[in-house]
This record gives sequence, structure tokens and C-alpha cells, in this order.
Amino acid sequence: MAFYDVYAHPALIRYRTCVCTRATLFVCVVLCLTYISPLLVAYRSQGFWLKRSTYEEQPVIQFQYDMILIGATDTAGNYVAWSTFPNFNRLIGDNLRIPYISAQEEDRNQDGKSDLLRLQISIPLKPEEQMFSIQLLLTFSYQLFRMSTVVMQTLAVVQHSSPVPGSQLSICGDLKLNQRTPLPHRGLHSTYNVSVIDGSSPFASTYDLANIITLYQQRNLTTHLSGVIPVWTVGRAANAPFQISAQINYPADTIAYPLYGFWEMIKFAWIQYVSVLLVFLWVFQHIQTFIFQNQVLPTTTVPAFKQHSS
Amino acid sequence: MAALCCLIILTYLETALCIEDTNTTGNINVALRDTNDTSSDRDESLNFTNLGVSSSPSGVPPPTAWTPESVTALPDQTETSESVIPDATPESPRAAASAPPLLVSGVLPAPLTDVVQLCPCNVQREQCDISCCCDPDCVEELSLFTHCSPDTVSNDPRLCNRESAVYSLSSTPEGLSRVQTTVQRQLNPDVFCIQTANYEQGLTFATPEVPTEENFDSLFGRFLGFFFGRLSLTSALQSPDVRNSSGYQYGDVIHTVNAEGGQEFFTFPAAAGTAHCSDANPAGFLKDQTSRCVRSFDLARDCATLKALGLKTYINFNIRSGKKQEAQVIGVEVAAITLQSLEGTRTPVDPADSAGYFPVLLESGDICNNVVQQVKYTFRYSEAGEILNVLASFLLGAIKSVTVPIQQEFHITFMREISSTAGLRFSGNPGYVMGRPLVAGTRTADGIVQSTDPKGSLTILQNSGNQDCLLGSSQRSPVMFGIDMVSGCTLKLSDGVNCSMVSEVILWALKGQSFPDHVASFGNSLPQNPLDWVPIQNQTITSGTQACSIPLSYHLEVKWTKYGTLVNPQAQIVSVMETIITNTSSLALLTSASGLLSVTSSVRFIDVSASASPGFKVPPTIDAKLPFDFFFPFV
Repeated sequence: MAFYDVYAHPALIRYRTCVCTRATLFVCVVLCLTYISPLLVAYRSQGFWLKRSTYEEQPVIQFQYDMILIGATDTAGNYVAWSTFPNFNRLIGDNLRIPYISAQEEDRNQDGKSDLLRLQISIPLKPEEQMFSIQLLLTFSYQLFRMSTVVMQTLAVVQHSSPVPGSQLSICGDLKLNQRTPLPHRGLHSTYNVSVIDGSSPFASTYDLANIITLYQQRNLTTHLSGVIPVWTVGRAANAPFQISAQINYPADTIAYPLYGFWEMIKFAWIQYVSVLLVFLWVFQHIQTFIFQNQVLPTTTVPAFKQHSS
Repeated sequence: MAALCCLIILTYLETALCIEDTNTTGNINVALRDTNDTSSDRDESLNFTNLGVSSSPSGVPPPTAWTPESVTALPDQTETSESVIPDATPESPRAAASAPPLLVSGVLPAPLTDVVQLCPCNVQREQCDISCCCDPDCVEELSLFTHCSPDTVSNDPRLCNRESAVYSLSSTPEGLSRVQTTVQRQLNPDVFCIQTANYEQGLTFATPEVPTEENFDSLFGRFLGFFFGRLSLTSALQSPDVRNSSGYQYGDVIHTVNAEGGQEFFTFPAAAGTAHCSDANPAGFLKDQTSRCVRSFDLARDCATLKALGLKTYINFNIRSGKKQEAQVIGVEVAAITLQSLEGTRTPVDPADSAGYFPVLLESGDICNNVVQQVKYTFRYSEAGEILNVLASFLLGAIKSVTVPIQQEFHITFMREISSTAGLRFSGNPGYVMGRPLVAGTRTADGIVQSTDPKGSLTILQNSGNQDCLLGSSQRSPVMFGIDMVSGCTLKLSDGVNCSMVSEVILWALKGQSFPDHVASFGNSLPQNPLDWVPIQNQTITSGTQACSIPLSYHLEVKWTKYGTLVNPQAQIVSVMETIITNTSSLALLTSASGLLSVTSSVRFIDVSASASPGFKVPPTIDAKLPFDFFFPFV
């Protein structure tokens, strides 16, 4: 006739002691070690308080139909230029060359946000002229809505030069956000909702490209064309125009923001704390059990089952 | 979990068993296998004026399902895609009631939902479109097709029961192609697919509002975005005078009257976009500026004819002293004319006979004389914003054809009427400001004598293309506070070199002609207080063994400290030390193969300020230190 465990239950054994004993001191030390050490471990292993997080959003980008276009037509430094700014066109005088431009913004997934811009520029050239370099500044309106509302005007710069004259420049790239410091997680930010190029100014210094770009680069939020591989097509018929074809994608961007909310920060911290705490609890529980079971520190044992005292 | 499983199973069962809902209306989605279709659209001319109003009364609009532009060109991007969901039901079409119908025929084409009838590639009327397998006009041509493009036409992907017409080619026994059309029914694996669309308008675009005279402005405002030609032609040159003051204000364009009495504005050549001079640049009132720009021309042809080279162009107009038409008109006075020879020597001439200096081509045909190289305008103004007089000083030079394109330099300064001379410019108040020139002077018995050059008198050489120390360059750049600099020149040693003379010339090139001996310790130290000035200490490291000692490097070391409060520290120069190092070994060892010896000149600024001591007793600290952000969100 074999025996088997028909039922089991844990028995609670109490150990009693006075306040001023070694056992009390031991328990206090163990308590401190159990609950404070995990905090130190979690903190020392970095990343305890999460201060910065990111989110992804496809910005609402619109081409503002403003541009400055400068092309070098010979190696001696002669150039042709055109812009959508009447004041700039007046400044450059004889070098004005009005191109033919077509622009198209396309919403591929029909979510109300444009996904790409197709731009075709053809610059008519005289038979004796050749194209050696292109500088193209395009302005965009850029808006973010998910956490903080950002409304700003940004710039995309295309610059390419070749020692060999060409007939076409093809550019395909993404308009990406550059962020120096994290954006606040809420509120409206329209500090940069000013024209990158002030078209109302008649002064030449306004249209100095180095000036425009230096001022633009001082901003916290800027955009740039990333992943551009310019293709320069060599060889052009004497009366053919110079072509620029650009495809600028507006992909989703990653935006960094600081964690300001108390619970948002605690949410990440307590997980780390508790996960380390569990290990410490287990270890110190076993140590305590060993110490008291074997009466390393003198205590009075209260047996599990009290005798019926009635 | 179990509940979710149940839901999925139920959905599948329902999908499989449900009766086909023929009323399902959806957006038609065509999988365009050939992406070239979209790129070829680009080549066609685009209608930029079509600003989101997707249909015009005369044109035949495409079926509503095929107007992605009506979303794309939606300019008011603060609205999300919900804005295209109609708010008017077809039973009570708001637009149809008040406005004339969209089309001449009076009806919109009914949206097609049957995938078999849809044929987006059929664009030629009564003619076969190549590779368009659904085109009913293609009968004989079908045998020539090698593929179908598009090969699948399907309806809304959100529907649970999604239909798609698949066109494929198969070969007949004769070897010719034959189109097979199959309608496939795909089950959507998505749990949240649309089983029955009971609200059809939710899946179609809104009926476009037709612009009428009443609603045009509101429609225009709603759909107006960015477009070409947005910037109006009104420029600041013709800006209306809203302030109604007779005098100029900061940034105002200065009006002039030309010889014929025409109204013009004062131009100040400057570079715009490129380095070339742009003559149309206006100068702003009270905007001190310096511009350098290049002119390229054919020397022999344009020497006498190009207006920009002649002095006359820059003085031959009258300036209106105020903005009003009735304002007094004043001429430009020539204050000084300096002639520069080809070698760079400058001789001042009498400015009275300015008419005698015009560009002339010398007999050799290679040199153009009296070309304007530098113009300095000085405007004097009253406190009412009136221009009192205008002085111009010129630097005219001779140029050779190899020096074309030339660089022209233009300065414009505005001064109050009371200041008779160029006022003393401080380099800080009181401490030095980064980037301002060091104030230096020479000590005499009754104080410090400062150079009149506003750029400051402590300069380092800025040599030209020939790099020769002995030729001496007229260009020197001022030593700016806080900016470390280095420059240099080369020395070619020939055999019969007069050592002492070479040494003197080099030192002169390194230090400048009038080298001061004191530097102001503050940016605004007055020359009357010699104690505020720091003497320049001299240290010459030389070895007496060499017969010929030539200075090889000149180093200026400026020690400065921060002074005052932590909030607003002021920079104070503590000591200035110049160190001249002469050659310690024989010159022959130092020279390179071509006999060139390089001589450098440098400036260094050293911050010697001690950190601030705390102004109050240090509070007691707890030894067991926790990192500063230990309790970060709590404190």
C-alpha cells in the first residue's frame, strides 16, 4: 500500500525577540539592504530616470513655391539666376534667366498629407553657354501636430557642381528634420514660422546664400535633404535647355521630446526597480530563513500549531 | 483572449456564409503594376491654377474616385483627412440646389463600382490602348500583347469581401495571345474589415461645391495655398509712407534725382547670390555697410565705356535730403581721390578736379588707368532724418588685363552732423567684446596717442598672392579681441643678401609701420589716463652666435581676465607680450630646396581669470553623496 501526498499546506513559524537584541538589528539591516540596494543597482546601471523619448510622425509639408536658382554658365564665373522673389530678380539684372518650372505634390496614400514633390525645372541656355553648377534653394512649410504643434518654414538646399558641363541634374531625396534640442511635449511652436528668405527686402544682403544658410542653421529645428545621390548627365545639345528634375519625398520623421510628466517617468523607473528588487527579496529571504531556522541569532520560536488552550 | 478568438471565428463564419452584398460601394483601388504610368504623367503640362477645386464647369471631371488631387492640393493643412468626408447627403445636395450643375450635361457620371467595368487604362476613344487588356476596342491587337498593364483592378481593400478583376494572357494553340478575365473574390483577413457599407457617402468623396459669385471668396480662402507668383510685385522701393515723416528712417531707401531729373534711388553695388556686383542694390538709411564684389569685363573693349569703372557714375546724381518730393536736393562732394599704381603705391591728388579722372586705356592696350577700386561714402544726417551732405572718397587704380575680374569695395557710413571727425570707437564698455579690435596707442609725455584708423593700430600682416615678405603688403588685418590668428610670408634668400636690411624689412612687415607700444586694458580706456593702458612687453629670443639674424616668427600673446560680477563679466587685458624669434642656426639649414624661408606672425589670447570664490559660507554637506538627479522627479 503506497503512500502519497494527499494534501499540503505551508506552516508559519514565528520567531520572537525583544527590541534591543541582535536579531532586531539584523532584521533592520536586512530590510535596508533589500529595499535600498535595488535602487542603487538600478540607478548605477544607467537609464533609471528616462528623460528623453521619441515619437514618429509624418509631417504636413507643403512646397511654398519659393525658390532661388543660380547656375554657373562658364568656368570664368558667369552665371544665370532666377528666383520667385521680384526684388532678387531686379538685383541680378542682365543675368536673369526665367526657367520653365513644373511642380506637383502627390499624396500617394490619400491621407491628406503630401508624400512627395516632383519638380521639373528647365533653364534655357544660349548656344555659347554651358552649365557647370547649380544652386537651388526651395522653401517648405512644415507642420507637426501629434505632441506639440510645430508650424515653421524650412529650406531645402540643392548644390551640385561638376567640372564637365551637363544637360541634366537629377535629384531624389528625403526631406528630413534636424533637431538640436528636444521639442517640448505640448504647446504651439511657431517661432520659426517666418520666411527663411525675406522676399520683401530690396537689399542684396538678404539674398546672400551664405547669409541665408548661416541664419537658417542657427535654428533648433531645420530640415535638410538627406540621402541625395545627384545624377549629372553629361552632354547637351547647343540649344537644349538645362533640366533639373527633383523628387523630394516627405517621409515620417522621428521627433525627440523630453519626458516631463511624473507618471511617465515613474512608469519606466518602477519596472526597473521592482525587477531588481525581486532578486534581492528572494536572496535575503533565504538568508533570513537560514539565520532564524538554525538559531544563529537567539530568538524564541512560536510553533506553527498552537495547542488548544481551551 | 477567448472572447477575441470567438470574435475572429464568428467574423470568418459570417464572411464565408453571408449573402453577397451587391450594394457595396467603395473606393476603387487599382494596383498599377507599371509605375511608369505615373512618371509619364509628369511630362504633360500641369495645370497649376487648379487649386483643389477639382472640377471646372466646362471640363469633364474624372470620376470622383479618381481625383486624388482634390486631397493633395487641399491647402488648409490644419484640417485632417476627415475634411473630405461629406457633410451633405445626396438626398439634399446643398451645392446642387443653389448652384448651377457641374457639367453642361447637368449630371455627374455615376461612380462605377463593378470591377469588371472599370478600365483605367482605356484612354483612347475608339482605339485600342496597347497592353490594356480591358479595353473593349482591342480585338485583333490582343494577340500582340505580351502582358497586361494593369493586370489587376480591385475595389476598396477595406471591404471584407473584396473583388478584383484579373487580366492575364494565355496562348492559343496558334501561338497568339488571348486575354482571360477572371473575377476573384478575396477574403479580407482583417478582423475590422467592412462587411456592409450602409453609409455610402463615407466611402466616396464629397460632391464638390461649385464656385458662384456668393461663395467664391470663402472657397478661395479655404483652398488657397501656395502657388507660383504668390509674391506681389510691390517692393519696398515703392513702399507707401505710412509714418508720414519728411525725414528718412532706419532702413529706408535713399531717394536720388538723376541728371535728367528722374526719380531714382541711391544704389550701392553689392553681391547678391554670387560674387558679382549687382548695381541695383539700394542702400538703407543708417545702415553702415561694406561690400566687396567683382566685375568682369573685357579690358580693351570696356575700359572707357563701362560705367561701373568710372568715378563719374558714383557721384553724378543728386540726393534728396528727405523722402518728400519737395525735399531739398544735394549733390555728392568728392572728398578725396587717391591714385594707385600697378605696383600698389598710392598718391593722393586734389579732389577738386575729379572730372579729370576717368578710365583711360593706355597706349599699350593692356593697362586701364583710373579705374574705381574703392568708394567710401559718408552721409551726414540731422536728427530729423534729413541728409545734410554726402562725401565720397575714391581709390582709383591702374589695372592690367590679368587682374580682371577686379574687386571693387564700397563703404557707406552715416554720421550725425555734430561729430566733426570719425568718433573714437570703443571696443567694449567697459570690458572688451569678442571680435572687436584691440585699442592700441603710443605713449607720449601727455598721454596716449591713438591711431586715427578706426580698425585699430595693432595689426598683423595679411599677405598677397606673391607671398614675399620683402615686397611688403599694404593689406593688414586688425588684431581682434579673443580671436587667435596666424599668417605669414616667405623670404627668398639670395646670395648677396644684406642681412641687417632684410631683418629690418621683415620686422617692419611683421609688426606694421606704426607699431604702438601700449594697449588699452579696457575696451573704453581713455587716452588721457595712461594708467589704464598696458605696455607691450618685448621679448626677443635670439642667439648671438649667428652672424646674420633674421626674425622668423613674431608672436603676440595677450593675457586677459574676467572682471566684475559673474552675471556680467568684463574682459580686461592684463598683459601683452610680443615675442620675436630669430634664427638660431645658419639660414642655409633652414631654407627649403628652392631657397624659401617661411616667416610667421601669430596672435594668441589667453584667459587667465581665476574662478569666482563663493560669496557666502559653504553650507554643510552630507558626506554620503547621492548623484544630483537621484530623486529627480520628486525634488
